[in-house]
Amino acid sequence: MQNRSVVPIIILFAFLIVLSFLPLIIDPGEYKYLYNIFFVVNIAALLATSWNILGGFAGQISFGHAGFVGIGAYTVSLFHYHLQWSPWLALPLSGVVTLLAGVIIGAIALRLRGPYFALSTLALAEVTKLIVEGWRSFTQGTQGIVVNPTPLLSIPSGGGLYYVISLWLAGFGILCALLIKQSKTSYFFAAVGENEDAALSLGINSKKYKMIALYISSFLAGITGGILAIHTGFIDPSSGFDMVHTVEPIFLTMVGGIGTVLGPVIGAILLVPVGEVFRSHFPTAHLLLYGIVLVIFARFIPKGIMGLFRKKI
Amino acid sequence: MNILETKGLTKSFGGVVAVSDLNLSIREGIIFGVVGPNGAGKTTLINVITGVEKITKGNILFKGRDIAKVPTFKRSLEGITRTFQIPQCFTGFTVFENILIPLLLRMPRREAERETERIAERMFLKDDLYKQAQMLSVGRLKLLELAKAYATSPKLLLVDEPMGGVSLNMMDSLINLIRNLRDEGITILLVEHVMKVVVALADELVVLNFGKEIALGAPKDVMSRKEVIEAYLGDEYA
Amino acid sequence: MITSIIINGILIGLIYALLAIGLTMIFGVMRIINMFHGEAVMLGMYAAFVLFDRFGISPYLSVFLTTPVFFVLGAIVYKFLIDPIPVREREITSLIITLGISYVFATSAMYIWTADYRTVTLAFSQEVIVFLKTRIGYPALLSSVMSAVLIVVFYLFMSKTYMGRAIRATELDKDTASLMGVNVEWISIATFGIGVVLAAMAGGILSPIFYIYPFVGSNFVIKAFTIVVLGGMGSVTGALVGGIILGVAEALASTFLEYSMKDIMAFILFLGILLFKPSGLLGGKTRL
Repeated sequence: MQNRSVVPIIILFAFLIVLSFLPLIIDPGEYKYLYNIFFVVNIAALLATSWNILGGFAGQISFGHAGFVGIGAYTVSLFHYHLQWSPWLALPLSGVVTLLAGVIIGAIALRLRGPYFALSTLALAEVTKLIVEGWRSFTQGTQGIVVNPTPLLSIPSGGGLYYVISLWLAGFGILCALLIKQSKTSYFFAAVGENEDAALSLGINSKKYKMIALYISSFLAGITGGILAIHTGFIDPSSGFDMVHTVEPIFLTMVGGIGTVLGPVIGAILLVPVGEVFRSHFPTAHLLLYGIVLVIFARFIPKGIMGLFRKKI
Repeated sequence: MNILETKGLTKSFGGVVAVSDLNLSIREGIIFGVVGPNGAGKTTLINVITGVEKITKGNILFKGRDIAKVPTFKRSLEGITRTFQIPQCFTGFTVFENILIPLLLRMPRREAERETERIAERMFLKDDLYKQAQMLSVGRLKLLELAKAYATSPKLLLVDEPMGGVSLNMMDSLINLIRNLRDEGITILLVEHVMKVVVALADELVVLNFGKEIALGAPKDVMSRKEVIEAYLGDEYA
Repeated sequence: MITSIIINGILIGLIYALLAIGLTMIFGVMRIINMFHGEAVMLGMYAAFVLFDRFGISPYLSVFLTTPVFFVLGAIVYKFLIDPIPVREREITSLIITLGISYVFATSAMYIWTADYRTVTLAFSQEVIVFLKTRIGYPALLSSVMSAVLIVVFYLFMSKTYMGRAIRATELDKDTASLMGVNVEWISIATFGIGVVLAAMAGGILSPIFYIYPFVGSNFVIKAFTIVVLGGMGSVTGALVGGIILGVAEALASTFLEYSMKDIMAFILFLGILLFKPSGLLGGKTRL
């Protein structure tokens, strides 16, 4: 638990505000590729942070985050497709709907511990994908849904807009993580994650804390899916529920430092650009890179980069 | 007044009966010993009292209230806490944090931090406060285990074989510590193997064998009974 | 009609059972969940494909040729990547490590063989025999029979040979086994190696029946987990029963519900068992 202090929060906001002015210095129209990478980094940081809250803070390793991302992405797409909503309007809903899904998923999966929890989240994510694929009348099945780019408050949609929005969404995720870390709850999360039976015997309502972690995590992951759908302009089951949305946050968090606030962010900033560059030269090689680095870190540097700098979480 | 009562308490796992028809009445403020050969059901008894295992048959009354439906964590909040035979401390945390965590559930942070120091001092852990729990020796780990449990402000403390693997010196410290806890008003249910400890500490004693009660009473009386000696050592010695 | 569904279900179930045995064994002995199990199957499929495509060796033969390679692969992974991790963290960390490895294998396969679907088409691939009014594809029959034989052989290995009994002893009680002279470290390494071999063998045997592509592993992994959970962790007979149950359930689902429901079947069974009877249908006291 970190000491309650406004300082980190002020620093966070300072960074966000300063970084928001970037489009005025570097023209998004000219540097489309760069802004695309910025966007991907921000989104990856948000998703990794969401995974870390559940897996790092509370010790419940999820293999099903692709499911949450997919649900969020489809929420935005379906509101857009069936009700002609502006996708921006639907974006907050993507978090809410995914949180509700998290409630259902939690009711099933949180009864299990450790690896069984992980496996059941994997299974539930796959089931969700299969349902989306099968329910063609509602979701358009494997055909997918097109999400038309719409301006937000008369700001035309483009690299700059996506960059700033994703920046602040990531900032929101980091703020959540920070607030948790500064509260008593982070201790209870960690206790439950480390030794649930001991935690119970001391009076900690492990079920409640696991649920809180899951709900926050699923909400943030859902928003990630939502913004992804808007940015890509298209969603289908294989992209929305792509396993990479499960593996990448784990990978980035493990490298950056599981259980820390900055870990997922560091992981995203360091590795996503590398991955993107790799991807443009060797498509799918970046997955190979992810796999190898994940194994190396999990085996030799389990506390990640943050762990190399400090002793405690 | 009886802080804990069990009526016909039975716990079975499939075909195996671990605890059979126990009728215990534990008065408030005493040290109640539970002894018996290995596999007699002692730890299961603790598990059932804390709610880790569900009752198969019978009742458990805590301060007159049936607690069968109360989940484990709530029982702790109401005053039933246990220690584990193999200490279950949070190895990733420091000694300070280990004691702080149960306190944080029950009081504001500043108060909890002060209380942590007080408890650590009481439990001879003051010098280890900022060490990682995984660095502690077995004896100190036992103290920490006790400290964590004490931090929950227990009314009934179930102590599961605290003396295992502990040096003779530490044993005396633990004996004194447990006695002091009782003197503070905490009722203690002590499961233990080491006879010297049980005889020194227990005000009252129950002997279990195969989950059944085979003797109940003051330690000296109980330990010389035929059935008890038989249970531990076999018929030849009875 | 129903007989033919059930017969085909049982046949595929036997192959599924072989698929799951390696996984259940690794879990039973070392309490590790091998997330790259499906990729081991996939590699076994590609191995069979390559040996058939290049050298014309039948997969039913080549599974034995590749055994040493997969054994060594499993042994190395366990010895250097999993064993060194302290026991306390091993359960979760091995999950992540094996997940990473599964990605490495899948994307490597992608690089070497591209994403194109491959098949192993044998001379008799189109032939069918009819039994009890059921049309059974020749490869399916052969694969099932071979699976059944391998399962029996494995069962005998576990019950009659020294090594088999050493493995079971380690599974029951590592410390006692060690005191009785079992080299627990080597047994663990060997067990992991055998687990990977069995997965690869199942892959080879499946190659004439399923399409081969780099990410096919993820299909098999959930099926294998479902079977392990159905039959009880660590139980060979359980894997057999679980495999057959899954095979028949899938066959029934694809006929009476929709074809795509077939895949959901495994998940539903998986979640259902984990929730209601986590120790498996046959299992004993495994507490999750």
